[in-house]
Amino acid sequence: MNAKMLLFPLSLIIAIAVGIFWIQPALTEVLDKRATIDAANQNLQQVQTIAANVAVLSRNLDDNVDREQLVATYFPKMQDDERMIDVSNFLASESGILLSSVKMEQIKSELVQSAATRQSAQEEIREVGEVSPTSAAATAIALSPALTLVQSSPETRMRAEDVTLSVLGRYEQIKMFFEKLYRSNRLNQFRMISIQVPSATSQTPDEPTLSPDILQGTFTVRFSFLPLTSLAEGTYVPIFEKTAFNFQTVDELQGMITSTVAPLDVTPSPRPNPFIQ
Amino acid sequence: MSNINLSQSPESSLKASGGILDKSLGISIGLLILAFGAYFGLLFYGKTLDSNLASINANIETEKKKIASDQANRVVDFQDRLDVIGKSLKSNMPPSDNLAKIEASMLPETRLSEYSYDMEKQAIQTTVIAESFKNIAEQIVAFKKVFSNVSVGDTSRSEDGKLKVDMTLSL
Repeated sequence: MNAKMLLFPLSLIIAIAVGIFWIQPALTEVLDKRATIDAANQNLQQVQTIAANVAVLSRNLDDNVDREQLVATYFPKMQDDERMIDVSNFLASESGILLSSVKMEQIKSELVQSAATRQSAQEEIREVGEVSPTSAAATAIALSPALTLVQSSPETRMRAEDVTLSVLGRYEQIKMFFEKLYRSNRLNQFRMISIQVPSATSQTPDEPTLSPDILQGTFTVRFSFLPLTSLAEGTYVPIFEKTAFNFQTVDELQGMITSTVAPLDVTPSPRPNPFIQ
Repeated sequence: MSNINLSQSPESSLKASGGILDKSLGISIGLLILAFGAYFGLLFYGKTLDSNLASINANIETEKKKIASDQANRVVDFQDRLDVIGKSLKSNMPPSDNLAKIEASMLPETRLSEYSYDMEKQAIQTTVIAESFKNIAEQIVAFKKVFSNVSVGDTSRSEDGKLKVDMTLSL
């Protein structure tokens, strides 16, 4: 009978203890998990929207293949020395000037140029992190969303080649040449233009005397190219928030280009001795 | 009256207290079942939420792979090129523009022997040939109408007696 009398208060105490020490923490954990699931659902929605936009944008490109091709031709993915030479030579012939020399110089991308300074900066950060445990370098990053918005920076990845051309011709012909080059179907930037009356000392006695209206032109033109962009997993760019491209730039480009030089196509003729033609 | 029995029998009081104790036993057991039931119920629900979360995360990873695919690279690559081309069209002015300014501001008494444009310095170096200093001064005035600044450099005489003046024209 004594045991039965103690049973109710004992079970009450046990129930209260279970409630405080087991149920309450479990309930907190369940609520946290529900909040995490809500956030994960939001992330999933965002990722699904962006993935759907990527598919729509890709179809948009499929429907505008000619515009995509124009952009790829104007601003290629790889270095194309042969095209630079061919375009310069073709347009010089069209303008009636003599292309006397072509010199090329590679320009490294900003990314490559900053690699050396970046390495020393990383060494500094490591040193700071080791001596200061609470510094930013040592602090753990809080839980991040599924995707991180990044700004693509094509200018830092662009590479280029500076081509220095020397020409001889009349003023109007020289002007026509660099106007045609400017409006050719290849991205270019005139870094330096020099036009001068050729000096008598620059000519050798064997060369015929130049007509007095013949000028010497020297141009340095930068032809840029951009290696194929590759996105890191877990990141997305602002265009993925849209469902269509703005092709206005392509239309403007099409209107600007007046000199279209077809790409080179060669047929080699194999021979046993390459030193004999 | 002396035969009235006023005391209760022990059996009936025992029966009453036994009933209350049985009820309290039931309540105690019920309380324990409720407490432990709630706890294990929460544990089970937590496990369900865990598998839900794992499923959502797996879906997120699948969708993320679509975004890091060749299709996505094609899209971002095209947009990158558009951005660069757009900036170039806005900022890259025709090389003949500066020459047109020179052509429009030349005086009949002067001519050029050299023209040199440097994009980084945003300036034109030129050598003007004229008969007299008056012509040179007038040419400077004409240049100042189209260029932001004109600074005069070295002056010399050519073999045929004409004046040669180096000038820097700021864009």
